[in-house]
Amino acid sequence: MHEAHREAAEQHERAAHAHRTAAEHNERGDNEAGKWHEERALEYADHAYRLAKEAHSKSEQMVTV
Amino acid sequence: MSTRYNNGSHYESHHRAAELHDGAVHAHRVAEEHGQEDHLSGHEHSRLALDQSQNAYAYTDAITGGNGIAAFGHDDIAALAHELWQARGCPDGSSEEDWFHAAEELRSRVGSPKRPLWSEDESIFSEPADVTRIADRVFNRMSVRPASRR
Repeated sequence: MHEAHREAAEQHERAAHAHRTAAEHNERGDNEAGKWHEERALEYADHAYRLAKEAHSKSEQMVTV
Repeated sequence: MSTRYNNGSHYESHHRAAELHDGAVHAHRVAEEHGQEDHLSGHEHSRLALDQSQNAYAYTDAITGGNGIAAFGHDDIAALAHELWQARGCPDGSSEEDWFHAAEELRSRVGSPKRPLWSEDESIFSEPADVTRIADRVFNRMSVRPASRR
């Protein structure tokens, strides 16, 4: 469970960084690069959410035992 | 409706998304720490972290249209949500529904694939009432309702 929370945090950090990088590229008009980073942001966000669900599920199992 | 990449609304949306992800990072770090000390406290923090992850993912998914392409921005959604609200006679307490309907409408207009905001295998968030509840959390937290409605 702890590992899943740690990994989820790392994925969220990457998603946040990808969003900020996408914003910078979009602001400069570099839409191709912005799009690439948007795609990465979504991938990281999706992965983080899956890890969060996994962590919470494990936590629930520990509480009910 | 703007479909430009290089506009203020997309810039703002990305930064709002990044802030949501920052919040989720913190929540998961706290859950990790508490989980090592006390199972009950850890479980509550785990639930809070899951909420933060869900909010961050939902916002990222919304602004990228579910495929990593920001086809429309925050301002576009806000403007259409306001129109929908007015068309329904300006009722109280339905802003989240208007917001989601606006996002869905904009997605369909730009040809983005219609995809749920979370995995289809996610059983606990499969009911429409849950979607509204989650939308309430996401958009209340972000204060992204149209300013003209306040």
